[in-house]
Amino acid sequence: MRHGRMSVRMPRALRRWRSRHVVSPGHRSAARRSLVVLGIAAVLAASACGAPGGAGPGVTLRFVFWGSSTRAEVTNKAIAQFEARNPGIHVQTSFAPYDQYFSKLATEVAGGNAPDLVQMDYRYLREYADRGVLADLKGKDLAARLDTSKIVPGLLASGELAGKRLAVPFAQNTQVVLYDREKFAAIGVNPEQGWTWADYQSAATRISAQGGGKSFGTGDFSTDENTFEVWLHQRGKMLFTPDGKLGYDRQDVVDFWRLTADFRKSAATKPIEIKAGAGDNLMYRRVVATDFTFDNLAGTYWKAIGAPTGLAPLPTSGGELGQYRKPSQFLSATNRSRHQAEAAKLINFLVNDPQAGITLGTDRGMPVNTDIRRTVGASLTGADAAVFAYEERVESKLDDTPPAPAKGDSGASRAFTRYAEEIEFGRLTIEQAADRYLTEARQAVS
Amino acid sequence: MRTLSSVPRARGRSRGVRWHLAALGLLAVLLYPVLWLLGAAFKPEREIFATNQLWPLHPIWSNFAAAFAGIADVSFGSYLVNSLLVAVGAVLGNVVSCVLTAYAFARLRFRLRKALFAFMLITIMMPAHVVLIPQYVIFQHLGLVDTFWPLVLPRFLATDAFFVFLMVQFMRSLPRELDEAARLDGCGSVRIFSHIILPLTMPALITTAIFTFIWTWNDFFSQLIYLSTPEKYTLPMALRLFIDETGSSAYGPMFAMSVVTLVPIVLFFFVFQRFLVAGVSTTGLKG
Repeated sequence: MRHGRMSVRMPRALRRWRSRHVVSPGHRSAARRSLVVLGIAAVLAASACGAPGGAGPGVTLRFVFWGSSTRAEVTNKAIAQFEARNPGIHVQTSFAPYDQYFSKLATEVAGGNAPDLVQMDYRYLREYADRGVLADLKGKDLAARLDTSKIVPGLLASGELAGKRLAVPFAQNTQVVLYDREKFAAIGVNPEQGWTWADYQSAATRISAQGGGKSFGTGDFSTDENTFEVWLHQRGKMLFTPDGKLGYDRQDVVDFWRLTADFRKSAATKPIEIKAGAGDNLMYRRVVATDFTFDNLAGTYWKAIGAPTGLAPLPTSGGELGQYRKPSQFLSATNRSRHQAEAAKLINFLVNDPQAGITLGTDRGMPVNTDIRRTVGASLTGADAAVFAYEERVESKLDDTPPAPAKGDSGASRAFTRYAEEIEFGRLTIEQAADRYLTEARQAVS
Repeated sequence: MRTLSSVPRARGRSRGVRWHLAALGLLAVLLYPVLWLLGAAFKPEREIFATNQLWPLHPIWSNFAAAFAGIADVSFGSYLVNSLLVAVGAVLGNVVSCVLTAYAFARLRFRLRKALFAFMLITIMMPAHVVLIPQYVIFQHLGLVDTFWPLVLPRFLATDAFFVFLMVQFMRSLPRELDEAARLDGCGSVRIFSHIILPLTMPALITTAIFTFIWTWNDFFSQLIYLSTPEKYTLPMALRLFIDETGSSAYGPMFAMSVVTLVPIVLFFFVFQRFLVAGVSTTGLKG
């Protein structure tokens, strides 16, 4: 087995090579060989460098977005429809996963090679706006090509900074509690129409009790800043004020962490020994019966679990729901692009065209154009239809999008998770953790 | 007598068995992620995360079918060819340019040699991020962004100082008597290089080839930065396209494609590693 053909042939070939070149100098072939190698290299390099993809006369628009292959497929299909209707405009698309997308975009912008049209995230909007990268879509002749009249007003405003429309919302999602239908049916609870934190805790406790130490009501959401945000809204506070400060105080943090500690105490929460690793998800493995997430991800859960999950609004304290319309992504034209008019046209198509709406579906979230949303909603099946129905149920209770996150918010978010874990593992009391967290978070966003 | 002598032998054997068992156990631990990957490639999507089992309960081929079908209208073959072009180009570039540069540093005497050598060493210590944007700007001005040139061209200019350094050290260990003998026979610097130094530097060349191939094959960031059209994407980029936290992901095909992606690199390593071992064992001064 070990003496396969390779193992015998290679050393002999080497020996031959050596005997030719070391023992008898005077041959020319080594020099010739290295010339050949160089030649091959040159040919290879030349063939590697094809002509950049152009489409003859007309305009080539570069559009970049983040997402998975599924998203790329539907997007490219919509782009093809746009090109068919707009001869003379060629759109070159390119996509990458979220983190890598923003590393690449930063390099391209710094290198003076910004794409014409970019998919933008709320978290980065302020930063790119401050650097002057994004074009004002209200300006010049752009507004004429881009109809925003059908976009939900509270959502549209989230793309505006200092009176400039720097981004147009591309899709909307909102927070959701995904729940394991089987386990909830077993205890006879249906939270679809809304519930309170006390309802949630009692349901989760009963599921843990029935789980026999293998499955539990909920994961530990004390580390989840997104849930904390909704909970703050329920008390009339917010994560960040419009001028980029923290929108809550020590008491809010302490109260939230007391609530989650109470969940742990009643065994509604999974034990701390059970932890999800990177890329792992306890609900995928049906270890926990609920998860706080965003509704456009329901399809991924359905696929991973192999069964439909239910979609419930977040628990309340009896009053406000606190959830909001979240622009899951935006579209922005760049300032130095020479084809802003065409970019505006493409944004208009992607946001307002019924055909594009049906093609794009709900992978990014719900369409932002209310007419399109109705058209698309009628054509949906499976998880997409469930998400649509969920959004319809909660729509009237949703708040407008809160102010864009302050700079340094990711530092604050990481600290929130870290200190919640310190409490979870009993290394700090809730009060100690809250004090330290606030010091760190204030430093991070100042 | 017989019993006496057989006791230590038996003890030696049992120690050998224990040693091998321990080594096998360690191997199993080290290989576990690879085995898990192999198993996951044959699992239906929901089985991947639902169980911790290595062996797929319901083995399927459809993950491979999906992987070979490609992503967003670009076929798997295209990613493979692109990756091979970049990797082979980089290997050729590094081997050719680094050996020439190393020969100059190791054997030739020229002005500023020491200063230039020090300068080269400094470039090893510089973090890649420092040069990222200036380099991008250069290629942007040359109009070479979104081609394979930015990934291959620098290799032909001996910018991988680590390999230059490796070869310089290797050449310095070769006896100068060989050069002198060749010089007496009438060889110039070029001939000494091609007939004496180059053949003897084979092990270093092979090492360079193997590492350049592996690093380029697995390199993600520079390929991400420079390639934009999906038709020019390489395998490491394609693998990441299956997953996105903000949307739907396809784990099964990703694992299947990962398995296929491992094949060329393993083949390359096995083929060239033989050279490496042979090279090391046959190096030396013999009559």
